[in-house]
Parts: sequence; structure tokens; C-alpha cells
Amino acid sequence: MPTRAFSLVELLVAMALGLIVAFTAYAGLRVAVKTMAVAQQLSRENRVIAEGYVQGMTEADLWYAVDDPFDAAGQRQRTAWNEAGTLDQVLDDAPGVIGADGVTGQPFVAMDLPEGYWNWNIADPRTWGTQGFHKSRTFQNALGGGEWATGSNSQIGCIGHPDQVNAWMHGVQDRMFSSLGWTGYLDYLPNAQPVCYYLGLDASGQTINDFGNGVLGTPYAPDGWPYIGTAPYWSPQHMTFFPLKLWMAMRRPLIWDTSGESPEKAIGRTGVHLYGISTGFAPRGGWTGAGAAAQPLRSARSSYSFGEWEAAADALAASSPLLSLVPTGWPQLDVRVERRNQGLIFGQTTVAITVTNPTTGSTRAYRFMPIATSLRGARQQRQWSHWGAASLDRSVP
Amino acid sequence: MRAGHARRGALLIIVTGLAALMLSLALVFLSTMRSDGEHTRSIVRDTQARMMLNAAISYVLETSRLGWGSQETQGWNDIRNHAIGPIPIDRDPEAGSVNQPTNAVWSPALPLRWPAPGSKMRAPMYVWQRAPSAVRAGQPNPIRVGPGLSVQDIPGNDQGIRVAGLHGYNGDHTSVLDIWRAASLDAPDPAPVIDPSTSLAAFRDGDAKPRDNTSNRAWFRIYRETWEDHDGSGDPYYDVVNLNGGRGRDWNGNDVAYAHNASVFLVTCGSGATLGFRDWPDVLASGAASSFLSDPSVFAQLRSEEHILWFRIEWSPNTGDFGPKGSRMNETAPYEGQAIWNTVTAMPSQGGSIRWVQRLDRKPPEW
Repeated sequence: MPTRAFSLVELLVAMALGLIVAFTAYAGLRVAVKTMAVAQQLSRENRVIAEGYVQGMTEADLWYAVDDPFDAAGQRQRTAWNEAGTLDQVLDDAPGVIGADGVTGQPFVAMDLPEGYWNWNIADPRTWGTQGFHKSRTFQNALGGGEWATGSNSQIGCIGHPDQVNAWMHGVQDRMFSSLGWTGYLDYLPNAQPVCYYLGLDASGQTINDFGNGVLGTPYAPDGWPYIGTAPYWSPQHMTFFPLKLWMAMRRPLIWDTSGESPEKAIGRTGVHLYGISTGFAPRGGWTGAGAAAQPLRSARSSYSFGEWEAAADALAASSPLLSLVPTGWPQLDVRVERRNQGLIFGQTTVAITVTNPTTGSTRAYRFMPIATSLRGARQQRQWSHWGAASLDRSVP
Repeated sequence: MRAGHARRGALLIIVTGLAALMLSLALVFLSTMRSDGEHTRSIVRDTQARMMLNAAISYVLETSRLGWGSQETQGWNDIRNHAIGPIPIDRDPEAGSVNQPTNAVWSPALPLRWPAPGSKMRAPMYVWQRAPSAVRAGQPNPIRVGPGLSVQDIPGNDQGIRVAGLHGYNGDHTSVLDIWRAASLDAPDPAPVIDPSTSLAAFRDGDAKPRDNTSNRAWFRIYRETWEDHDGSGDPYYDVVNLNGGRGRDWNGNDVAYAHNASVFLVTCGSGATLGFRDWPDVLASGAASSFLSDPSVFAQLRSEEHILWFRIEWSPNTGDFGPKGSRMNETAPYEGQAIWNTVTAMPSQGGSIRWVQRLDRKPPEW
């Protein structure tokens, strides 16, 4: 009786076909799994990018990296620094001087400004950038014996001027600089206001600053006209009675002497950012890019020139330390928010998001420049009652 | 059970298992993609809303001087005496009081209408079919006939001139009059999109119908703050600095109190299809219920899908950062023979500038 069974040939053919089917199924499954893995990877990257966008915009809007409104430990830029570079709460005015010498302001220091400043009235002559018409005690005319005679529009040279129209702007700007530091001062400065200082000569021909203090060097020719290019036109001893003031922040040798332009061109709020010079806000320690040391003192004292900004790029980029807490194997996220003034652009916020795939090492980078909260807006935020009700911007009669 | 039946059952189980596995993979895949899509849409909505801040700022800058009648105005606080504007340039800003000038384009009468302090405006955004007074540049000339020249000689024709501007070849001409006509009257460049000689009104007014796929995407609202909104009273919560203070001299040299600061605006930026209405009563008050099928739940659904951001901005009459123009008194070239700088290096905004920007983290009471 014949037995129901496969022949060897049948078995071989069936096995071959079965293997083909099995391999095809396996290949299909393998492709599907790979696709899933890629999709998962892309999904993670997309989520990380979305997170980076949210983090970047949050920082741009709320300035957490510069000042933490909810933790006193993150509020070091609410305190000015003394000349030694340590925190200094004292902002007492010296007699006859609005701001305080020897003190470097910081962006979130409390400040009193004249009440008229907040309701800026350009119909009021005190607000005018009167080029050359403000009167200085020393500028040019001291040789003739006159006081408060002819023009200097030095922004801090006429603080003690008996005419309040001439003195008002100088006092306002000096207080802003002493309180907020260089970058903060520029942010609070009304648009298109000139930023400058002039020197003059006393009756003997000695170079003096606007307070009548003698300075070394010869910044101006004997006839009173400034000249450029002859040593010792610049000396670090200039205006030694005027330490840590606007003139230091402006970095005169880099602005005037390299510009080949008149001071008016070089020292407007825009002009101070010409020729590769930048100013910017520095985040606090622990909130910088790549763990760089914070530079609040440096950024508050003067501009960054030429390659300095690039060298300090990590220190001047706000980056949340919380972003490093991503799970192992997930794409690594780097978010940097840069608040920089450069060239002819003022108040520029740049958000840079970089995502690195830990498996392939590939990176995806995005940069954009949103309209974001400015310093004045950020300081007001910290005065909201639900943000701690700090008293930062105060009006005085 | 026979062996053959068992074998067929096993195959079925294997195939079913594989199919189920593939199905689950596909479902996970689709779910992930949907989730990613939601994330991406959220970012797109946020970005669209932020673009509205740009649009609102542009609106505030432009309307500080334009759009209130036939005359240019002089700012949200008039640059002549700080009175609350806008006030036309040909009208006396001192008539009435500085806080309620007689000649302002706004009225304190209730109900308040834009742009009175305390009033609001709404701007659903879309692209017009044709902008007012729309013109179009001519076709660029693909052939460089001469190095930057608009005319050149015609080879072999010493009586003619070939006209070749940046926007096209205009022909060979022997008459200077023809050349002038070709380059100007007969072939203006840029040319109007529609012929104004046919309908001047249509050319001037444009066509406000929205272009396809440009409507229902984003909007902004602006609330012009009253002086009490920024008097430092703590109410609303963002009112922390008195922005109204100050005394100074008027243009006659008299010591006066400043007019209130009327240049602070609360901007609401939204992405989505609610056309910028604040709520359903706002829709009803505007007679726009039909835009939402007369169904408040439709409006609520659209609102739930939107991103809304609030910002405060302050307008300034300062026209931006640029170097001072003109010369010092009695000095023309004081600095080593260099002329006083008289070049605007950064084009200033003719509508002023924005003094500061502030993001709000909570919904304001008025928007």
C-alpha cells in the first residue's frame, strides 16, 4: 500500500521555497524595523529641535540666563562691581557727580532716573543731541578764559553745568552708565543719541578733561583741533581722574583712531559698533555656552573688538544647563541665545539650535533672529509682583 | 486531525503573527509621525504668532505718521509738543490740552474708537489680490548690451542709437524724442499692474480680496494703553514703572508738565482662524457671527488650536540709529580736512522706532 508522504524532491523544493519565503519575510521585517528605527531617530531629533526652539524663545523673551527672578543666587548682575572686580553694593554719588567713579554697573542694578526720562519728550530741549552746542567748562575756549563757553557735546562733561538744559542729559547718561554698565547703558540710551567725550585745554595749554582735571598725553593739537596718528595721542593715563567711565567703555583707540572718520561718525550709538566692535550681554555663571567662565564684568566695562567677540563666543552665549539632562542615546541639544550689538545693527537677538546625533555624529543647525524682550522689558518683568517685585527702575523728581 | 490540516494552521498563525507585527509597527510609526506633526505644527503656530509682532510693530511705526486722512501726522505723542496724537501736520497741536488736543484724529467720546487711548484694533492678516497702486518692474534685460550703459551705437548705422536699459531692449531709434518716449512715457518701468487710464480708482484702491491660502493663518490686535496702564500703580500686573512722569520746557521756553505717555501699546499676536476676535461677544458685537457659522462652539474650537502671545512695546519718535547730519556751527571740516559726516549709514525708519519690547507671561486684562 503506497504511503502518503513527500518525495525527496518535493521536500527539497518545499524547503527551498520555504526558505525563500522566510528570507523575504525576514528582509521585509528587517527593512520595516530599520525604517522604524530611522523614524524613531528622526522623531527624537524633531522633539529635541522643538524643545530647543522653546528653550531658545523662552530665554529670548525672559532673560533667565542673565538674571534668575526667582533665586537670589542667580541675581549677581543686580549688583555693581568695584574696581577690584568684586561685588560692590555701594553706588553712592560723589559730590557733584551723578554716577559713582570706580564702579562698574550691571544690567539689572537698581537705578533712579529723572521722571522726565520715562516719558521722553523730544519737544523738550534737554533731550536734543545738540551737536557742538552744549557748553563745556573747558572745551577749546578755556584759553580765552571763559567757562561754559563753546561747544562740547560730551555726554558726561556738563554734569555740573549751571544750566539744567545743558546738564540734564549728561546726568541722565552718567547715571545710566554707572548703574547699568556699558551694554546696559547703550540699551537704555535713546536712539540716535551721540556717545562721546571731549578733552580740552586749560589756560596753560595742558590737556584737561571736562572736569578740569589734567590728563597726560596730547590728544589735541595746540590750536585745539584734534589730530590723529601722532604719539602720544593715546595713553592709558588719560583722564585718570575719571576712572571706569564712558571713555573707557568706548575704547577710543579702536573707534576713533582706526575709523579715519570724525568723532561724530565713530561715536554714535551705532558708530560704537562699527569696525568689528561689538557689545553684548553676558549670561551668568553656569548658563554660558560649553561651560565657559562668565564675563559680566568684562562685557559691562567695554566693547569687544575684532576677534575678541569670537574668542569669547561661549562666554557670551546664553545656554541653559538643564539642556544637558537628556536621556542617554538621545540627540544632544545645544541652544545658544546671543544678545549682541554690532555693525549697524542694534538690539539683535540670535537663537542658534544645534542637534547632534549620538550614533551617526551628524548635526543639524538652525539660526534665527526673533524680535524679543529688550533690557528695559526684562527689567520690568522682574518688577512684576509674581516675579518677586524687585525695585529696579525708579523715578526721581 | 490529519497532519496536513495542522500544517495549514501553523502557516496561518505565522502569517497572522507577521501581519500583526507589521500592523503594530505601522501603527507605532503613524502614531509617532502624528505626534511629530503636532510638535511641528505647534512650532509653526508659535512662529506665525511671532511674525505678527513684526507686523504689529510695522503698523505702529507707519501709523504714527500715515493713514489718518490726507495729511501726515506727527506721532503717537506729537513731536512738536508731546501732545497725545496723532495730530495732522497742518493743525495746531496746542489747541485744547496736551492730553486731549482739539485737532487729534482720535476722540475721547464713548464708545472709544481707534486710535484713542484705551481703544483696540484688530488685524486679521492675509495677502491682497492686488496692492493699492500696484506696479510691476519690467523684465530684466538678459543681454548686457553695454557696460552699464543704457544706450549704445548701432553698428553700421551712424544715425541711430540703441536703447538698452536694465529692464529691456527698447529698440533702435534715430530720434531723441523717440528715445525719451521709449524710456519713459510709452514704456514706463515699473509699469502699473492694471491700466490706471482705464480705472484710476481700481488702480489706486487695489483689490482687497484675499489670495488663496493666505487667510485664516494669523492675526494681531493692538490695545493702546491709557496713561493709567503705565503709571506704576501695579495694576495691571505689568504696570511697574511710571512712564508718564516729567516736567520740562515747551517750545516757548515755559516750564510745563509733560503730556501723558500715549505711545505704549499692548500687542496680541495670534496664529489661527479666529480673525483676531477676543471672544464670542466680540464676534457678535462686530456682526461677524456668520464667519463662524453663527456657532460659538466653532469659534471656541478655532481658538483652542491657536497660539496667542502678548507683548508690550513703546513707540519712540527717534528715527533710528544713524550718524548725525549737518555740520557744527561755523565748522565745515574740523577733523583733518574730513568733512562732517552727512551720510545716513543705516536707513532710519521714517515712522520712528520701538524703544523697548516686553513679553508678558500672563493674559492681560485688556487686549
